[in-house]
Amino acid sequence: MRIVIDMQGAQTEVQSNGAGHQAMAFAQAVVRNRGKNDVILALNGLLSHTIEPIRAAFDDVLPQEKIRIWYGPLEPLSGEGRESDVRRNVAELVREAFLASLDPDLVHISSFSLIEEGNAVASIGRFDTTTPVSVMLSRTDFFAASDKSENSRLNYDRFAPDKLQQLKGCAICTTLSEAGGESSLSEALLEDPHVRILELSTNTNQAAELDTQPQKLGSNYWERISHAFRSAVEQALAAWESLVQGNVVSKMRESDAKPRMAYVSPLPPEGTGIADYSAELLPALAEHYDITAITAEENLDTSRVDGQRVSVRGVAWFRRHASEMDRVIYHLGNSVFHSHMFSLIREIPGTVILHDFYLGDLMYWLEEKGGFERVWSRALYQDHGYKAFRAGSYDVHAGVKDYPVNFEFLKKAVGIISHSEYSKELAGKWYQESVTENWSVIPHLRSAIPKIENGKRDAKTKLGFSEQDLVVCCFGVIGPTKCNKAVVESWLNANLANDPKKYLIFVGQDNDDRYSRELKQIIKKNGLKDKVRITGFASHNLFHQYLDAADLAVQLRTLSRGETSGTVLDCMNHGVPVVVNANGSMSELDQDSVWMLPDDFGQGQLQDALMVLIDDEQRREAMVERAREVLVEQHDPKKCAGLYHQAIEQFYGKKWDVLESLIRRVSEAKDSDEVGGVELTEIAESIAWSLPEKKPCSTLYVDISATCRNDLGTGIERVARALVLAMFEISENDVRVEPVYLDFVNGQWRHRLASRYTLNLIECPWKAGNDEIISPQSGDVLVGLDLCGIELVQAQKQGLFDNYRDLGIPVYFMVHDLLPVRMPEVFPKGAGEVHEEWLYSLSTFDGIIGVTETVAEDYSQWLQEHGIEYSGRRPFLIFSSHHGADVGSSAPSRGLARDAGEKLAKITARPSFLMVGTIEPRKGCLEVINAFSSLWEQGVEANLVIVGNEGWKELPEEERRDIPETIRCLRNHPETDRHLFWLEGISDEYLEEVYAASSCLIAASYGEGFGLPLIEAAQHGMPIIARNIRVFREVAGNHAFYFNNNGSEELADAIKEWLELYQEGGHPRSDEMPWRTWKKSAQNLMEIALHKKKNSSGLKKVRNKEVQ
Amino acid sequence: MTDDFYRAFEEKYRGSREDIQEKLSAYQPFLLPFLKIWECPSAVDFGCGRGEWLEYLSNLGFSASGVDLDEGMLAACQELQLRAEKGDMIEYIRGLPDESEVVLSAFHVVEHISFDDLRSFIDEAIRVLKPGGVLIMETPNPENIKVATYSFHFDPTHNKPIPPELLSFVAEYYGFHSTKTLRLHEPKDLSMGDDVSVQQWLEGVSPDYAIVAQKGGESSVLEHFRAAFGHEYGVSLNDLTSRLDNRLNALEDRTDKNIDISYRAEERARNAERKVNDAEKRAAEAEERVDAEQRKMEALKNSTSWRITAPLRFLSESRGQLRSLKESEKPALILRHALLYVNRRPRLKRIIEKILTLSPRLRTRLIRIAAAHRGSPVASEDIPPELAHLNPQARQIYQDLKAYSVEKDKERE
Repeated sequence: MRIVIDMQGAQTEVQSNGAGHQAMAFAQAVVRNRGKNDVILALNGLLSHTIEPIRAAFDDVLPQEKIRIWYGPLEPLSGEGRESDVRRNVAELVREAFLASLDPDLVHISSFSLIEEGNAVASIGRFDTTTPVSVMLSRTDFFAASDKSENSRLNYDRFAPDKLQQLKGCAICTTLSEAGGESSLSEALLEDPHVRILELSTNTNQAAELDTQPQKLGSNYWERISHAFRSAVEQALAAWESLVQGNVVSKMRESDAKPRMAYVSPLPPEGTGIADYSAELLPALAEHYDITAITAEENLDTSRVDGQRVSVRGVAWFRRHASEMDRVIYHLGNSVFHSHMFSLIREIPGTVILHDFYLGDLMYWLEEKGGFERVWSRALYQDHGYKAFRAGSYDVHAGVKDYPVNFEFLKKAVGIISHSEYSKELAGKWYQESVTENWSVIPHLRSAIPKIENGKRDAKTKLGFSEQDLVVCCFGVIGPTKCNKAVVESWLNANLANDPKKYLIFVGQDNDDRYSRELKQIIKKNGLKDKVRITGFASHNLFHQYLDAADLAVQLRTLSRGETSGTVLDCMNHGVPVVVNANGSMSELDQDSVWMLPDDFGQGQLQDALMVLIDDEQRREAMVERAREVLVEQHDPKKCAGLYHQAIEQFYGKKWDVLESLIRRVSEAKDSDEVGGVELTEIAESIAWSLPEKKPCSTLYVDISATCRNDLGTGIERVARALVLAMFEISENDVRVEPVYLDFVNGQWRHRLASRYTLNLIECPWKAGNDEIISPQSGDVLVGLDLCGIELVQAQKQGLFDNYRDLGIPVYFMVHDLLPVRMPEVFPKGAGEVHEEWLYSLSTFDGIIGVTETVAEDYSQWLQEHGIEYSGRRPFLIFSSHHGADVGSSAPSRGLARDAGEKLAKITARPSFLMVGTIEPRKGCLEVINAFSSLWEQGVEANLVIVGNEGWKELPEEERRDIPETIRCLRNHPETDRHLFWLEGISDEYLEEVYAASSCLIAASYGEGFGLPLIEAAQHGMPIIARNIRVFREVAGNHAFYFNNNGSEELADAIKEWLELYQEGGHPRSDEMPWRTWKKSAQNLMEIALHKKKNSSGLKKVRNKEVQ
Repeated sequence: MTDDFYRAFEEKYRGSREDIQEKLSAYQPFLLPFLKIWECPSAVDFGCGRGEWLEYLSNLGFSASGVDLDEGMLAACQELQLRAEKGDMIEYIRGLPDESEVVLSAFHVVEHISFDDLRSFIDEAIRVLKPGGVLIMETPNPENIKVATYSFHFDPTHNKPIPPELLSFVAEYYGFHSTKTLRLHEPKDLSMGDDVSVQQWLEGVSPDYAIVAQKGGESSVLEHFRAAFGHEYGVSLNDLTSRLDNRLNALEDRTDKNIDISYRAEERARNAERKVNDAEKRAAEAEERVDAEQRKMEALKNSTSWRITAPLRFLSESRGQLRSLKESEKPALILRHALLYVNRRPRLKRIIEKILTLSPRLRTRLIRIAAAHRGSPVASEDIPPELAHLNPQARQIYQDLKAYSVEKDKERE
């Protein structure tokens, strides 16, 4: 049983109001005692400040996806006047439609009396008239309320008669016993025999507990409350259960008259197996429905189905008469015979019978020839994401073959019927599991034909065989997926070719492609021309003659894409024993009715099967006998039609096209004279938030706002880029990775899909459409990878991220460092302030991911310092995840400077120390130069090589801190180009040479987020001298030599000490330094974001001021 | 050793009795003439084995006897009541009287004995043979590469393969009048064309050969054998090699031709590529020109005077369309265009809306006209600015809501 609890009662003044508190307590008790029931909490999005406390209160006991939000169009909803009436009206409809879209068995409204305050609305039976509604009456019943303000009392006066009327529409009224049935409301309800009053017994202690404030009782408050309410909840659940059962029974009873059905399918004489299928199904299905068959061709000669209580009409007729149809079904297959269904099903939804799971050929035909521009390529992206889109752009053939592109149909379908469990499994594999919710598997059908005396002999004679000849057939088009070659080879190996009485016949079209030419070559080479034959295209008649004549059939498949094989059933029906392999849906065949080879059978196994079956007539007969039984048991058209009826009625019993009816009702409710275009956008948006579209799978939105605007391929952008690429590489069908960026549109902050940037990044030649505004929904996640300070702060202030979190979309951001805040003296003035605001914005999210543990801990330290509290909200999570280090520059630059040879020779001549990185104050360049100056004065023979560009060039001179001095020093130092080398703007190729020529890397930064140069040095096998700061310790561990942060003299001593160690070979080596790949890094990040890492060691929870 | 090893070995590898009998018929041309000259001519087979040859000769009408060292083999001969005795071949031939035999034979024997023994054997043979008599020695043919390198070594008692030229030289040296090399037992399917595969080249040369050496004699006797000696037998290595060479040469010729063709194709492709590059360049230049024009256009459009004059231009553009319309539709169309214009400019819209609140009737009419203007669904390339902040689903809902409103409006009218 799925119970949806409307939580608005708890949302209105949770803290102070006793009744609101009771609503919360009861919901807690239901959730904690729900057993096997599915409980969803429905919250009003306009009361946004109450959402987070409620989500937090349920965080440990209910998955966040079970808390769902709906949005009314506009606020305020209360108030006088026509305009408010319209708004409230629309809000009520959206609410009921939203609840219906959750497909509940029962809706419970936790405190009907409180709703009507502020932006809360509730109604019963205005939109959804079938789902039973239960209502809880509060102790401070609103009719008895005397302590209400003037304003609220006015509201009651206005709404009471109307609400009272609606209240009579509820199926059950619950009340806690000491509230008593004394109020006028109860009396009023008792007049209506349909409404049941249920008094839930409580004891006096519980009332006492309820009055206590949660804070006083500590963390297990709700647990204790729930325990106290347990028996009350059990009573309520039992009552609801019987209500729901009764509702199902009464629904079943309603269907007396035959419903009208539109049956959309190809029909004979159209050249597809599905047409024949329909010809068999129609007469049986006509027992249950008044059927009009709809065909694409207007003037089809449909004599085979006409007159069987079925009339046949064209598509145009169907469009005109769609509203008269009670049921619509579509027979969908992967061929051009189904091209008209693509637009039809979007206009007129129905049940889809999915004969083929993969619809690539159909969709590609629609795009190429059907006039549906880009429909296939768009579906590649919509259904399967960027990876598929890219694959299709590079190899159309593979794209068509490898991707199902059927989600549009599945999404629109009222229900889905397939002929095999295998198709359903494929759906679960390609899309999120919920796609298979309204899905029935009904076996393929065949009406058993009577056995004809001497039929086999006659058929053999007609085909020119003698009665003693043994005829083995493979039915179907020749091709690699049918394993024809394996059959011939086994035929040869089993020495069957030498027997003049044994024939192997391929009954099917021969496309004269490479495969069939090779097949013919084998036949010819072995001189089998007469004994092994290919018939070529087989007419219906010829096909049936062979079915009648065959003594054995071999129907093999490989690389199945979920098709169901009607031919195997044909064989079974004509008394032909069949050898199959357990590929795809064939594995579901009855084991005794066929000879089942394993899916990837070996040549020997096939050979054995052939030899045994050819020799053993009894065994063949036993198989045929069992096959006949199976046909009657499972594939009989009457039985299948019964299953169809059952499935279709069940689908239509659910609330399926909520959105469509809501739009109709809303446009009726609102007055076009009153509601102008601007308001319409708000209504539209509130509906879109409340009733989000079904998606193929949940989405991981990756915020790369800075990177996709300005990708210089360095620093943080390089990280973002590498992570996005790695995420694409490792993501499977269970989650979809979508890069997004912030944009300010019509005064609102929104995220857009970064499709243009992404297609460019993955080098996809196809053009992207617009960068659309995203439609995130419960179950999705947002992870920020880069640093887009000002925009993010603005968007956070406007409430964009709060909105996501309200909807149940966790938001995490990666923190690269806190350096501008921690050491403002090495950053431009003001940088710290922006960064601080950014850090503050992040603290309102679900958590952060530090690029190192150092950064993660620094952030939690920072939270403490700023006294940021986390009470009354979900915990704030702090993770860390190291970067990858395996991808160099994707296109390394080339070229050596003219004097490179000379410089490299000097660098190689003595021990050279290398610094790599932009020259800016944080890197400690000047300190290193000073240390070396003193070494040179002491006559130490060593070089200092600095590779990097001058930083902060765009800032005015006085704001550049020690950069001007550093540059002056580099240019004018007496040792310049003798012992001191500054290589500015050099190519990657040159840098490689410099690495090779140098002896040691110096990492002298005062602070770093990650310390990539250390890993790069390790990858070059180069020893490292690093400043003794925490992040370097974390990254390099014992694989580096450290110097303390005590000025240039101590550094000079450290270098001398290192040189001594170096001469003896006793210096720390870096070769063994561990580092991870980007793939590993991305994997870790995705696990964090998708909550697969809740209890890992890298996790910190911040709750109620304390950092654990 | 006296077990049945050799007998078993022969059964397995030399083939069945019948096979061998069939193979032996190759020697017929060299045997039949003797039957015309002598009655019941006598023959001795050295290393007679299972006695196939003895059987064959006897059937033809020879008086044949055999010698072998292996008792297992001799037993097989005795089973068939063939004359054969145990003995060493050299000793045995030495014991035969001069000019006593017509046919001496040694099938697959000479490769088992030392070269010295071979020489003694041949020397003795010429003594024992009657004038015109023949000595037949069959042995594996080392010209066949597979035989020489592989199958010869199958038999552990084999000594060394003997090339045909050597064996016939030895015979001539010891005084035989003429010799003939018969290449034997090659696969039947080796056609005479040049279509020789490498496998055939390696394995297809006659795997065995025999030297038939004739002792000099009266020309009336020798005369009978001329035809047999004049014929060529079997497939030699030289023969197959030259056939393979022919085939490879033909292939080479064809490859050369194909290379030629591909050169020409490549040349054509290069020309085509050059043309495409030119075209691309021209296209890029054209695009550049269009862009430049567009930039100018945009600059113009962004200029204040262009904006100010926009409504004027709009009217003059519309006038053309208006002419074709019915009189009653004109104001509506103008209003609709005006509305579109206004809708895209929020500030202007706000001002106009303020004005319109003063005249509710005009407002209603305007909205109705705006709603009636429902074109094709919003293309993703052209999103109305007021919907720019909506996601695609919300935009679709917006469109649907509008569509219903329009239907309702129609119903009201």
